Amino acid sequence: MRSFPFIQRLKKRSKDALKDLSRSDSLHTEGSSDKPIQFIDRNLHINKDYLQTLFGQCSDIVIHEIQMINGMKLLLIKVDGLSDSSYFDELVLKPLMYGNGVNPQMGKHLLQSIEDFMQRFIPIGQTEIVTTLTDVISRTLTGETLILIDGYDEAIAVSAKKWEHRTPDEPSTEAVVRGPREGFVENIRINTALLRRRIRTPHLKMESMKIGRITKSDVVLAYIEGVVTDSVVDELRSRLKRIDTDGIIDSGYLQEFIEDEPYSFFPQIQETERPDTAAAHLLEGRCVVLADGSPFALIAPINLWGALQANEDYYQRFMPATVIRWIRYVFTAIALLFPSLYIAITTFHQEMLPTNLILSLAAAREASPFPALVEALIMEITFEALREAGVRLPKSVGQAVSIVGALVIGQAAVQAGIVSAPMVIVVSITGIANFTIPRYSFALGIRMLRFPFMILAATFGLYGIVIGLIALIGHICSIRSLGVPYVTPIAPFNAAGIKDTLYRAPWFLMNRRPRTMGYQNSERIPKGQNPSPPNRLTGEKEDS
Amino acid sequence: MLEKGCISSIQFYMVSLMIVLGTYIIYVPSLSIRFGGRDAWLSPIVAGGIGLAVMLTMVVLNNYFPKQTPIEYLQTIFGKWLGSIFGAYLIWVVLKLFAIIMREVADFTVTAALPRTPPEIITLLMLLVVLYVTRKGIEVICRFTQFVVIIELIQIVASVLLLASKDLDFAHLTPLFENGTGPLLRSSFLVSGWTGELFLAGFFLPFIRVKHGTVKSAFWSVITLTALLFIPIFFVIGVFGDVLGSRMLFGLYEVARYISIAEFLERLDPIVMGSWIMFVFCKLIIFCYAASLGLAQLLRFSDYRPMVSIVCVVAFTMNEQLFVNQGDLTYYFSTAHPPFVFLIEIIFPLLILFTAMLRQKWKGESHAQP
Repeated sequence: MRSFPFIQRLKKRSKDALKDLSRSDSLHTEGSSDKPIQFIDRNLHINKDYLQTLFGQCSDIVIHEIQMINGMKLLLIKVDGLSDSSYFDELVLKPLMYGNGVNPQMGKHLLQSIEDFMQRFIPIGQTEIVTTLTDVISRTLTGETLILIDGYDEAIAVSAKKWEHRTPDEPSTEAVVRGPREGFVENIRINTALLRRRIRTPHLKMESMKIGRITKSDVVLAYIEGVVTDSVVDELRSRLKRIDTDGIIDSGYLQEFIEDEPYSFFPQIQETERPDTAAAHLLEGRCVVLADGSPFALIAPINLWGALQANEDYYQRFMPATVIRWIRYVFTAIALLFPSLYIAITTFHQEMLPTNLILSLAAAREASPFPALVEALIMEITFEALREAGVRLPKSVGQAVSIVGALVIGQAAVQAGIVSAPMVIVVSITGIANFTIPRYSFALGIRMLRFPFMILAATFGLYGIVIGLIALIGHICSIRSLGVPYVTPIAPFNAAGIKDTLYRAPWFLMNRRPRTMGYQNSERIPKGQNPSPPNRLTGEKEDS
Repeated sequence: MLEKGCISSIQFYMVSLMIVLGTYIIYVPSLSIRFGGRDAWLSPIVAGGIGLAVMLTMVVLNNYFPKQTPIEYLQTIFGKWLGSIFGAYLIWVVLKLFAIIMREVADFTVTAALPRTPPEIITLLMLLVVLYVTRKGIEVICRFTQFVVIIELIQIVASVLLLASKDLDFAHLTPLFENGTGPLLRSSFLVSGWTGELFLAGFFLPFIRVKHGTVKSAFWSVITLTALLFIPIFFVIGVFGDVLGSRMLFGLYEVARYISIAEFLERLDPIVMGSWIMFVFCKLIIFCYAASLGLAQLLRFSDYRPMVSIVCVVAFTMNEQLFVNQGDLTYYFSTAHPPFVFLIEIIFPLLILFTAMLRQKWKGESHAQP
């Protein structure tokens, strides 16, 4: 009967806690001020009952009571699978229970404080004292092991975490011929370590925050202090803090919350799976956002041209890189405009083509029963469907789809006279051109924008395409990425930025950081590092 | 102020280029040859001088009233009522020019590319896009202009003019001043109708962020402009000669059509058409912005955006009513347009400047007396 009032209190408290959980605002990470803070009780049983009620049907939560060799009672709480049990048991539990180093005669009162206990008996580096049950709960759920001691109103959080994760292998979306082959993984700690290993400066800051009322996901905002513009970081931080959602499963969730202009086909935040890309952007004065559970880091602010630059441009020699970059520019235009140009020219402006070409085109198109627009729409939509089917299917079936696609759609449709052969060529070139765009999300936008252009071309010919382009240019000139204009080295014009836009200057000439992002510490590579042959007479290098 | 954005002096430079270049490329070369014959290619030198005068007038006026557009300082100079009347007239002129540009695009597109499409549809489609971009504010307008200048100007100069240089015949350009300087002055009078449009820079000058680059960029924009104005006329006369050139409707467009290299690179006129429509859009947006901003300031609105659609609707009606057909438009350009714009674009700003100076002087004396 002694425990009766305790049970009353306990029931009330756990009911409150459950009510808190069901109330949405209390799950908010920022913590609403009206929420009562649950302090740890000195009585271990109250805490235990409270936690057991709270973690009612959670089979993966281990709440375990042990007795030390001197009779003190301890309560361990951890998540099975997230905490490193064998390590913890070996280092902490075994000495405590078998008396290795603990004096069996030592009474409770001999421990001055919980700090004292922590310093003497927990041989693990990352430990911390927590005072509230709310903290106990949240820390348990991140994978830490919590130790509650009978008679003390504080608890020890021991960071002995371990869970299964992928090793950083080569990213599948951004493959390179030359360059590092590591990729981000789902574990945020490994991702931050991958960045830290590349940038070894105390100025690389990684601000951590928890987003998501229910998921409480870790989000890290990384930037190099002194290089990045402070206002950009402040803006990004405030946008991240503003997010009020139940959960973040992938960084894509975050992206839509923090973009400047969500109603746009153009991504204003770049995602990357590569730590080297992220590190390079950090050096340029941009911010990187990592979300736990997602192998995709977010980079902001970016510009339009960044979407057409692959990281390999910077690893290869600059001359081929420049040419390849130009091929990419041209093929991006083709990916956007080629079907619509074909429609416009065959429908309205036949006189534009050389005579022989128009004759062979006309001969090929003669058998086709549909107007050019219908033909193009059929083929382009089929192509999109094939691509979508290929992405989701298991690899063994995917091959069948590509065979069916190539043979049936390509060969048979032409032979049956349903579509003309030039149209198949146009669709294939457009498809290939789209694959030259290094950023998938940008390529996706271009893919979708083809269709309005095709309709404009079929209605107004070249004039329609030009009008569409004007609207598009107006749009990309109006959007910003974290306040930085999207087409920045071109408009607003910046001569130094052209070095990395129209061509890729050799590294020793890229003296300055992009002006809009990193002007605080603008000098990047000191001038005068052009390699030159040594002067044979003096043995000194020639002055460049 | 109604507009909170600000622009850089290099953006102002490019906007000033587009104010003139927009409609110049297509119509003016042939028209100026009609007036000036063989000597027409020299006319941009005189017209550029006039443009420089207009530009410097606007810059000096902007020095007197750094944060004000013409509509606002007209009211400061002439008082509330007279200033408002002058301002309304100025807006009406900008509106009319806006409507004329619109008509030019529609006529050109119908003639060159889509002969069976009603011009109203073309104009409406165009206006939708103009509306979309203009409502985004001065910064977007300037960035748009900059984008188009950098991408398209390079393209048109590199592709068309380099390729056409094969067909240039310098014998077409001589003898100079065969009939005295009369034809040159006449064609300069026509061309100055376009360079005079630089008075619109007055609507953009107050928004320049760093003022000390203003004079430099204003000066260099007129110099660059003169060089750029010179090129199309030069090419039309050089390729076709003055007789054939004067009979054409769209000089540079025909030059692009004439290009034929290796029997494959031929018929580059769609490139010219595309670039030119982009140029004209810059000009349309600039005029639409100036008209709506001015109207909003005149009527003391807190935002210029509602005015944009009104301006577009009014200009659409005007462009329908002003001219019967393309011949009418060309006739207007060669008769009524030059004196009209000379008066409003060149004499009127000088008049404002003169009054402002007098006022300043009078004010200075009145300050000195007590």
